Amino acid sequence: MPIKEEILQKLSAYLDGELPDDEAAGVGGLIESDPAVKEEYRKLHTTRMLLKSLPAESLGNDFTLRVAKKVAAGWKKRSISMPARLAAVAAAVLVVAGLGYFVAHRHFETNSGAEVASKDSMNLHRRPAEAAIGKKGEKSGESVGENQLVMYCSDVDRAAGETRQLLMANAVKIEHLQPALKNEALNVKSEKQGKIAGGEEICFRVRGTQAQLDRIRRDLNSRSLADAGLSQIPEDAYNSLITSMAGEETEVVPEDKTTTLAAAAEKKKGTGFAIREDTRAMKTESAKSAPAPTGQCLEVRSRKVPVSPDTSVSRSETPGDKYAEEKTASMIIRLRYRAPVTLNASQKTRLRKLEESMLQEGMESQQPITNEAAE
Amino acid sequence: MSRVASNTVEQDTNVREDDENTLVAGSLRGDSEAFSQLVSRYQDRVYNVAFRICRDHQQAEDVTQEAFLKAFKKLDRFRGKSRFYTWLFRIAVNQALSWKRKHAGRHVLFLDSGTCDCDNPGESSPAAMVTSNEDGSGKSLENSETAMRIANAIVQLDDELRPAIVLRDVDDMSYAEIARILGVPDGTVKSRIYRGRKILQEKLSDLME
Repeated sequence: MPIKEEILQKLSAYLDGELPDDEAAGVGGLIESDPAVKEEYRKLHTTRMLLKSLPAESLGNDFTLRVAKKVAAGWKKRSISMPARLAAVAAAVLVVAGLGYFVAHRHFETNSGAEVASKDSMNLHRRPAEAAIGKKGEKSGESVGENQLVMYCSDVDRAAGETRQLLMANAVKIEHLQPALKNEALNVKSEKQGKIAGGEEICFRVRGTQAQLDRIRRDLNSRSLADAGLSQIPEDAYNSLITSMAGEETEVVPEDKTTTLAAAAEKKKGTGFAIREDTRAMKTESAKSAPAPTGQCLEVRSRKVPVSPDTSVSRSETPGDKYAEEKTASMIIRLRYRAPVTLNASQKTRLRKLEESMLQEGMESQQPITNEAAE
Repeated sequence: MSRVASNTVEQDTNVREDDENTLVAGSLRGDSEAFSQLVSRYQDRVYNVAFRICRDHQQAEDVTQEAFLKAFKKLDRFRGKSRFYTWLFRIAVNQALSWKRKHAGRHVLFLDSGTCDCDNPGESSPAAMVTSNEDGSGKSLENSETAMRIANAIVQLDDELRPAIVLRDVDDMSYAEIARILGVPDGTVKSRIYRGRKILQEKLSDLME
């Protein structure tokens, strides 16, 4: 007659000394009186002995030291105070955002480079539209107004996306990217097959504290210094330099999208999506009697563009604006197309030095360079 | 006499527990030496349990290290309701089981050298067994073979039974401790240990004579 499962379980527990005294006494008696139970007990005991016979191994002091070392390193991290940890996290977020921006931009510049490399012409070529823009009287630092920053890039669409990321990372209010307007902007891009070309620009109007805006400006400055594809060198200076390089082994790639863009701009007129001539190059600019640019500004804001050169003091554009009472400032970032140029190392250095000197000049003056100042 | 001995063991256990609590408190204050003492005290036990679950020396060492680092990282969450080592073993067992599930059926190190397919332990090469023995004698080979068979029988137990058997028969833990480590009632531990032993008994029946 087979032994009940319950008895067998008790035998196993009895073997381990895990039965209460009264049960243990009963099982002990059963083992003594029933040979089958006794045999089962013997087998369980042997099994346990076999398992216990397995050799134990030792890890040694090396292991202890290794873990202690890691623990000590971990403790240093743990002992950082909470505010410092939060600050570190915030810094890490900013670094990641900045890195993402940088990497993304590198990528788009690489693409531009590939496009440039595919061209056969080795002659310098300036596009008429750009030449016209170059006469706008922009001055070093590209600050045509106190709170304006003009950046030149070979892929404005992409630069716009990256700039937007940077602005979002800095938590400023981006006024022109309200969803509805963004959709319109996307439609325009779609019609132009994703290209914004010479003479056109995308404008961001951002609001934030002066510190935030300064940081953004610094980020963009360093970005333009780090990569010649995103430049702040104004057209006059840029064109002079490029012309001076004419006999050297460089290449300006012709861009054929201008007419396409102009057509797209025309189509968009009157749809509420303002695409107009860039007369908003500030009143200061018109005071210079600079010729109107042949290119057009892709204005993606529904609100009126501020025309005062002094926009550093926060102003509400609408009476109920929640930002009206805050000490914020606004800044316009203009992303303009400039045809990519293939430069050799020496030429890149010259461009970089030119940009550095201009940015340095801007910093030394401690005053944003206005068009009046330029005059 | 027996009562005196029992009291001595109990006192020894209490002293050891107090000592352990002191080391845990020291570790929480950032005393890495205190934590090193905890590591030194439990590393071999944790390692042997991990090895019997994973059947892979390197992995068992990694599991052991991870368990200590995890324990250190989460030490401030240790409530002290149970002994530190039961908490530590719980981490280690979970780590080892997790690894085992991920690598089910993979070739693992077999004792000190050679490899064996866990699912076909009988197919391990005799040469590997010989090289795993220091003196190369027939007896050692026999012993090694026995050890391999036992170890493989354990590793083939299912994930539910294996930790209970290992903690009880390799580490000599009580049912209550095993229950805390596995997070199951004492009765479940009792049942799992019995079921595990019965399976092993069948697999190793020829060694019972």
